[in-house]
Amino acid sequence: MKTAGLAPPTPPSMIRWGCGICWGMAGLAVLVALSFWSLDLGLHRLFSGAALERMGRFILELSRPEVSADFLDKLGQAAFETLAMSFVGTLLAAVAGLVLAFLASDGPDSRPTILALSRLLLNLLRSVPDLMWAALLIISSGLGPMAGTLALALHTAGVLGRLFADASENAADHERACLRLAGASPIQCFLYVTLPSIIPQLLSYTLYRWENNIRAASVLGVVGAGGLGQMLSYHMGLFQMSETSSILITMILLVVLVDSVSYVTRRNLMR
Amino acid sequence: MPTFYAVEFKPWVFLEPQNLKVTANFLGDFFPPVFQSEFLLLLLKDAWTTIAIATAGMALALVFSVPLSIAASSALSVSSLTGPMHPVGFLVRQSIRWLLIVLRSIPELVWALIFVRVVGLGPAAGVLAIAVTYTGMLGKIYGEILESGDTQTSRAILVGGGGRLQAFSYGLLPQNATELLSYSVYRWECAIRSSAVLGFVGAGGLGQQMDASMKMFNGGEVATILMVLMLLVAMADQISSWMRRAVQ
Amino acid sequence: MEILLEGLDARHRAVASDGPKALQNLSLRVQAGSHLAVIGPSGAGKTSLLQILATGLRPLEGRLSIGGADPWTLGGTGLKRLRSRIFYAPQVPPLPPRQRVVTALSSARLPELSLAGSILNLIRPQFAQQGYQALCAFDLGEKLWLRVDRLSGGERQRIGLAKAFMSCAEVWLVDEPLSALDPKRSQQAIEALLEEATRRGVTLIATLHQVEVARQMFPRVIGLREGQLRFDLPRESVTDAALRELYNQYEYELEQTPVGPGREASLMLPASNSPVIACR
Repeated sequence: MKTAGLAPPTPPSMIRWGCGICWGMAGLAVLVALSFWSLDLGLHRLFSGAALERMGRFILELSRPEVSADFLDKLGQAAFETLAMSFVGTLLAAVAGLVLAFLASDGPDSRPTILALSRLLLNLLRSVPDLMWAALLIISSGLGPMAGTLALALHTAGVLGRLFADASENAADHERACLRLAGASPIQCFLYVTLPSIIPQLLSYTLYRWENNIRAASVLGVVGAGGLGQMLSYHMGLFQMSETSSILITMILLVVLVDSVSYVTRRNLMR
Repeated sequence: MPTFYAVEFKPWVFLEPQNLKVTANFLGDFFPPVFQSEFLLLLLKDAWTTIAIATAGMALALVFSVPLSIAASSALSVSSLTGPMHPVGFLVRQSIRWLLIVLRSIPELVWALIFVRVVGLGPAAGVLAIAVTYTGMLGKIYGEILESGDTQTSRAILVGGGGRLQAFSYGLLPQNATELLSYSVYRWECAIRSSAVLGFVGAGGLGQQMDASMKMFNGGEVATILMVLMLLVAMADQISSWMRRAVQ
Repeated sequence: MEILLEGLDARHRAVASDGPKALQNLSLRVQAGSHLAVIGPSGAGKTSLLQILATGLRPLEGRLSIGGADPWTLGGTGLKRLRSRIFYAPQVPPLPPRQRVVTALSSARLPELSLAGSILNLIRPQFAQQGYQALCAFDLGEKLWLRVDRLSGGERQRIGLAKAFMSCAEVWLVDEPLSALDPKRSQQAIEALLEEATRRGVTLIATLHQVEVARQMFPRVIGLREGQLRFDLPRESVTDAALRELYNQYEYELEQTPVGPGREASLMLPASNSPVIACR
């Protein structure tokens, strides 16, 4: 039996030098402080009388959306174009991503050069934002939605490829077991064992990316890739606020639509 | 499929002779990339601007999204403990959710265009655009994380007579801290890419530089900028995965 | 606080409106400061009874009075205040895995703390001394600064009980406090609980599967079966025959917990006269 003393055990010291998270958080705090200080933000100007007045006028102008049948017709076409861009882009990206993921996932028989090259390619595709890809592609292919679709496809292929590769690496033990079976080739292992086990995850990621891409597709038009974005930059440039307001509302509706479809589909996948 | 038709999907356009020539010239321009020290210094400054815009925007987004997601979370509803949610509580939560949806449905670029009209060109427009969009995004995901986690402890605190914020800090937060942190750091990495893009509309940083270089058809500079961008994203990715592993 | 139930009906929220009731026509009166054990086979409604008393479940019909008031007629603030006077320990203690034991214990004092005080306590625990004394009563003193996920199930269960010592509640509702403990630890835990409950004069209601413990340690035992009150007796009158009838067809659930070696030997309370908690 132990007699209980009145002094509790000593607490650990307040500063734990080995605490990685604490250093990370401290580092982030420093980064945030430096960011605000180095940018000449002048946020006080944001709340100055003139700025508030401009904002007020802006909001007022936006509150009367244009709803003439002619304009709505054009809006509908642009919306469909944007939707199509996001859909086709995501689809192409999923297929390309799958191929790249197979090449880039580390397994028992992946060759180092192919692994390194495909990973580099994925990083390149991922790092360059879709808008930049669109700007670059437009130089080669001219204005229009195709540049936008391909830009989305390229960037998303990088993102999805990386996610798919991580997922299939985590499912790698299936692969190894499969190789012990009678002489199946790596591709067959991938198609018959790894892939089926990660398909729900892959579909989920793809749907989630589609949600993201509908937003991206809306803006690609700003650099000339068609769809709602092109209409937006046109009308905003001409200071036609009521048309701009209708376009913004359509963007929101489109995003809500895709979000809901994606959410419902993902819910059903989980069952 | 009608969608392929709608996007004028004609990849063979790339192979048309005049386009091929333009492309070849453009790609040829990429080599050699520009490596002069004064340009590199400029890019370094631009890279920092890009990071700073992203970080400042995220910081603002955190400040707003955390209280909004707490307010919108049905895991902190006292009335839900023992019956259907109180109608006022339900209305408040739904309205906040709709606000978050509107904030994130409008793409950052559009917000940036709007802010440029209001506060002028410069990093402030970029910071505000990221802050607004990411408030919506973080608010939604934080809400999902809080609700899908284990709410036993926070519900126990509420039933025991504790307040909602107490239930959050002693129940929901410790339960979900790693996931919240992990997602936030991942989003910061995305914010860096967004911030690079916002430069195209005049918010400064690498995007603006790339726009300038492209307009002057200086492929070498564009190539260098792309490489710097890749490095930046790789670095942020590294920090992000290191932090995520540290909290596991 | 006095507790009164009259003709109470209750149903779990997850059950359909024409489904079976968790409690049927239950009437019970508990004097302030008394100790009560609730026994019965699985599905008898023991946990539901505690949830009703903890205001975690709304009754369908009947009268409920805690401390002289019907909790469901009080407004939001009144209900919150009432809840702060009731301590409920579920069978699986609600402890966040990555939290330290000292912080998890101090969450029992949250109703008394302001928001600023609660946040301060997260950064720098203010209740280390009280937490230590509460843990010592359950032979867990050295675990004060450890993280909850480093502890075993039995240790966590005892921490869930130690939380009661930290609270300022006048009613302790404890659900299956001994389910994860071996016989020796069970004896220590239930003695510590009862000792402190007597010292503070709180009303203690515990559900138990260990009927021997119920008979030996609690002055009053009630038996539930299928949501209905089968008997409400002083412990001397709880005969083996009554138990067999209560647990008819569930005899395998009757656990015989042997009494541990000597009550005095297992007391772990600190030898001090100062009160463990200074409540408002």
